[in-house]
Amino acid sequence: MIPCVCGMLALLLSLNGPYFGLMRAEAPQQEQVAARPTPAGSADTRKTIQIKRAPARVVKDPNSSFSAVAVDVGHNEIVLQDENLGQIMVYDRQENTPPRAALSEPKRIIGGSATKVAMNCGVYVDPVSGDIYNVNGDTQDWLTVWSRDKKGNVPPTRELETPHRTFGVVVDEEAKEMFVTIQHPPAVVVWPKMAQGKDAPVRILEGEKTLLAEAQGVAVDTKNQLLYVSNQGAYARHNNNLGWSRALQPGAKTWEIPDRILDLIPGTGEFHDPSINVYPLKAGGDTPPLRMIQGSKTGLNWPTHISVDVDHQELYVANPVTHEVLVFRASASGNVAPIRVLKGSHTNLSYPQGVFVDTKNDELVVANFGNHSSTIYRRTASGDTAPIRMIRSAPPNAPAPMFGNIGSATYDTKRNEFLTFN
Amino acid sequence: MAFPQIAAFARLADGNVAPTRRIAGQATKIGRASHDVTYDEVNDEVVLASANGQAVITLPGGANGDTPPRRVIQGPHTQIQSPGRGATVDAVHNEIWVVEGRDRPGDEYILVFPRNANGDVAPIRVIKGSNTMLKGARSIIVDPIRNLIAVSSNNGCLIFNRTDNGNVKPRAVIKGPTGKFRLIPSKGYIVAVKGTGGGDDGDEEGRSGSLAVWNITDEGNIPPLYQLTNPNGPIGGGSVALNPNNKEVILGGRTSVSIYSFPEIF
Repeated sequence: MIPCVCGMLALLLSLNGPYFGLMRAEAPQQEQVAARPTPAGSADTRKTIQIKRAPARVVKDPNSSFSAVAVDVGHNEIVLQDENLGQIMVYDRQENTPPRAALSEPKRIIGGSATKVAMNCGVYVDPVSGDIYNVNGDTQDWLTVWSRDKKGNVPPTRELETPHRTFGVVVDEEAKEMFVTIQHPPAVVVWPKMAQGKDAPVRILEGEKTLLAEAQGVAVDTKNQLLYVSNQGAYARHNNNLGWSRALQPGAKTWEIPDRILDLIPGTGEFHDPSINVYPLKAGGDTPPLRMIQGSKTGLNWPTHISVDVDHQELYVANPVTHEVLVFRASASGNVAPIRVLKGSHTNLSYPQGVFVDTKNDELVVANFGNHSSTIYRRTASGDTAPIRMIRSAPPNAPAPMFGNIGSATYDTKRNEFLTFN
Repeated sequence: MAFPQIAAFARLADGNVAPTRRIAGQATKIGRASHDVTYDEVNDEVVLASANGQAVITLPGGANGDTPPRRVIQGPHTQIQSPGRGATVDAVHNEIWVVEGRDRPGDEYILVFPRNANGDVAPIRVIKGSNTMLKGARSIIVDPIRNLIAVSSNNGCLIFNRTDNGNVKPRAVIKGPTGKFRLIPSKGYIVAVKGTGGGDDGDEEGRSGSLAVWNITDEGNIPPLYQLTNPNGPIGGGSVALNPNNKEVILGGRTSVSIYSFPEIF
């Protein structure tokens, strides 16, 4: 039954009804009222009632929460993206937080206002130099690169202006090309590895035929010349099927990154099933995938970062919603089940976002956003297997609100809860 | 940004606490860049826009986990383009409002749908055109009592009649509120984060100076009725929620939530 408008208005204005009935007052804290005029009047007569008051409560996680991981195999370090505090954390690869210890101290931290690191969600490490490539998912549209001597609140070694909503980064070390995913409008933007400033990309993979949809993680197989991209599914079309590429000028060395939504066609939105798309490594423009891993058997649910084991031809996928790492054959196609699933209470997986297969040490390294940890397993681990090592940035069982640039808040008056949206 | 979610916290949550529930996952159809989430207390539903999927999503009020929406407005007839900035519900008149703003000066609009709309549904009204003064619009509230709507924009807070349609001029402009805001319907108070309040994508933490309150019937360059500042630092965020039961204002920042007691305005 739909109540009439008059009845609803009465309900709104009732003492205890929804839409703000008048309830008991609470004593404010640290109140200093500068003036108490009648709160009305015109621009000439109104005097603002000034109140100084600290918040009654603040909800915040003071600990590092890990959103992505890469291993520096040359220097035996694990690099973790701390999205909660806007930091890059570098640990010894063999670090293993003792069960009774509160946390492990990193070897070095990069973070602070000078770094342009914020909402950092993607990372790549140069296997030779150890340079760290940092991708910010929001608020700072810069890819920053950090040589091994950098730490603290310092400017990066170099920085590259990027489109908004970058997520994953990987480098083809043979071709010296850097691949960066843009979530939406979805694209894989490819720059020279050493690009900086406003350098233009060498190519962009985007368009309807690509079937990219909220692109997330990215991985390359240079041996077989393949590019892998994970997708979460939301999609909308562009006018003339041109997204970011419309700003590319033939022969130009730099570009002005265009508005992110100007050319989206209204009403073309769709929700696709999540997928892993596979392309030729040199694909650009509106190139269709060679194959896709997609469908109910795959178990994909908001897949995020991915990692390819070229030697064993396996694809690792972080599947955060179900607290799993899925492993597919790299050659998989269509609606196929993973060949292994790492999942269960013994794994200590909690909202895994980042995954890195370390073939040199035959290990699998995971960044967990939900429990302040990075968990390390034998490469072939499957099922409910405990990690062989664990790096914690907080005591075990420390709560993890998992905030990530709260864009909105509302209040549920029935359940007396406030709701936040990342 | 790693993980889109709607996280619910107990009112008295303080410090580092886990949410009581999270709404997240493939079935929810939520995604990043939903910069307005509204709880509809009359119908016990949560409404938000999916910027990337060009959709308006309505979830059960008590949703938890990977819960599918009750309704999704999406499709060619909807005219939805990138609606993440503002979406709200008028439970009195059973309407959902979506503001299409940001980055498209001269081509911004407000869409009104029946609250129960589902699927590829055309809006019942559209406020659009050069007279509207819409520019960089990013927050919308509906006052079902005074039959007004307010939209924050680069041109100030634009006040329209609730039933306006087409290329209409705002009936008033309040210069102050330009960021995100909420309404106290019983008083007609607009509760806003003063200043730019906006930056981009909600990155207001640390830059927002005060909570300010205007009357929705104000006009012009008028000072706020109330202004609340934190003597210990930044106000703490730019996303505003109101708890009328306990006379509190809740601010979402980048990675924190600050809750202020503000009984004077309720």
